[in-house]
Amino acid sequence: MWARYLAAALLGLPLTTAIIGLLALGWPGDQTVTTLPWIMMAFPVWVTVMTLAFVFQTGLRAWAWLGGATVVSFVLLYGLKALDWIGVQA
Amino acid sequence: MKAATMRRFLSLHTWVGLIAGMALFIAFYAGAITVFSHEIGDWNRSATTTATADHPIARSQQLLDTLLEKHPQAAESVYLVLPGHHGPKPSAYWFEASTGQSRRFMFDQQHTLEEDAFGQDFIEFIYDLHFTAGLPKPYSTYLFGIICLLYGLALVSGVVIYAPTLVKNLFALRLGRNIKRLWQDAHNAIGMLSLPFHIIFAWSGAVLALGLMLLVPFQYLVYEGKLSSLLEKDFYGAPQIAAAGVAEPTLSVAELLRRGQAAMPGMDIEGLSYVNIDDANARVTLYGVMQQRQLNQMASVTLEGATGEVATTVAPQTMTPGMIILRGLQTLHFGNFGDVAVQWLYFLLSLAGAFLFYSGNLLWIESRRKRRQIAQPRRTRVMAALTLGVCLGCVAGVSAVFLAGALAPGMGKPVYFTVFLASIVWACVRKPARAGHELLWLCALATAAIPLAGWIGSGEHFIAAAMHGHWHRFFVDVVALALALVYWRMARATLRRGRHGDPHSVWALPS
Repeated sequence: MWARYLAAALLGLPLTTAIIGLLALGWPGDQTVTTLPWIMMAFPVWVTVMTLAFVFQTGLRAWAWLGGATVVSFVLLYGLKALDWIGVQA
Repeated sequence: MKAATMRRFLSLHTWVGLIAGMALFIAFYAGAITVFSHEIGDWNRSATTTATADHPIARSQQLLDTLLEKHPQAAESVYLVLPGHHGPKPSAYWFEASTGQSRRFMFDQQHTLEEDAFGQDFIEFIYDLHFTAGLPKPYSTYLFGIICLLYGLALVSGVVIYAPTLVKNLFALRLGRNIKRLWQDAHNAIGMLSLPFHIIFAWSGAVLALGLMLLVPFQYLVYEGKLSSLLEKDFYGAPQIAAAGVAEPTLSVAELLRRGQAAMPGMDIEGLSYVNIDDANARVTLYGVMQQRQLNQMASVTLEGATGEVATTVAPQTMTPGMIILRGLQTLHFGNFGDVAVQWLYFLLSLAGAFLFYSGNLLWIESRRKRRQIAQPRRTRVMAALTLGVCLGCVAGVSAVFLAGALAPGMGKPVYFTVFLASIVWACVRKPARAGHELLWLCALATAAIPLAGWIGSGEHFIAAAMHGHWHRFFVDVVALALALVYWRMARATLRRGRHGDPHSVWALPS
């Protein structure tokens, strides 16, 4: 169980930040209007992500899936930003 | 669902529940009372001192002028609260940028300016207790934000382990020989039936306590340091402007109120937020409430301080979506809607929530009971002592704060910690069953003394209060008596269980 608690504690916030970041920057419209609603959704997403750590069959799988998702989300976030497909309107 | 998954969620529920449960008990018990903080605020004073002073606007202006005279630096940022809804006297909060602290100033009886730290006494202390447990801010507030996240995890895992038997068990309350079954049913029923309330509190509590900190990872990892400019419209209605460095007098309170009222008729103005007073770029935002059949009723008008021109107005119906969610969550958290009915509902749901966490700990102890031996494992004795000490110490401590509020003003905080810490020590040195019985007696006596202390402090007992139409005092005293009765019955039940119940338990009292 320790591996799962650690995965929830250490990966929860980074994964949440990347997911919400992708959604918020990818969402169409004026970001001065859409940013705060997305950030407010971070808490429910954070709790959901932490819950997921307890769904996988082994602690190792929990780390692999959540860790993998964190890496993929950040690669997508910075990759799409570098390609100028998404970006900060400011 | 697989049995292994079920076991993992049960373990998650157990551990986050145990870690967060006692802090949540304090938050909910103090929170139940905080629901009525405005009504309770004048309970410990006689009626003459609570009337709003004459010339409230002139007094507020005087307070602002005196504050700026004594502390010119305060011109950077002051929030001036008008007399009325928030108390009979005006107060001024200076947000000191160099320290990041908010300092409150009021006039004392001799009309001299005094700094009055928030949260030191009586209802303000109970208000602080609700989200800090009385520990130093701001770290205790962040701690409670994290507690809210654990609370969210406990809710999700609790629903997951309970969902398969939901339909069969929801309204079951099996009174019978199996006491654990009864406690489990009560825990589940309260948890499920008040689940929407708990989801809202976990979410809004996290936003209130940890919301600003949560902006930090987004600011640096996603928004390249530009997040604040994207949120300016939400938080301030208009882009912020820096001080010009050119002196130009800011309009008077009366004039600003007149212009604000003209810009938004129907707004009931409660306070003025000043930035860069007496600078050419001074800005003043007037905050108030406006009835518009929306969940939140907050409205504001931002004026140029020097010219009085309207920079921006925000009404409940014209808010940005982000502000609608944020203010909506705040309104749901504070119960600022639906008037008295919602306040009583929140009061009862909060007490039920406190029971939820208390019963969760008792269930943990019961599940680890050794059924064939008198001696019980050390961990269940320790958990029993902590649960009794923290929870009942909080209950007795809060009642003691009321007593201090009426009899020894200014002593609220030390009195609370004395009672709270003494209760924990007592619970650790006595047998759990004895400690439970004795601490519940302490709770009952301290709570029953509230009407008496109020009578001595204000010169009015609760029957006289009812005859004079002082309903706030009447209801504080009557609710205290009702709760004292509950604690007394619980004390008796604990003793009965100890003497006549199953002897293989931490709650047994061998004769």
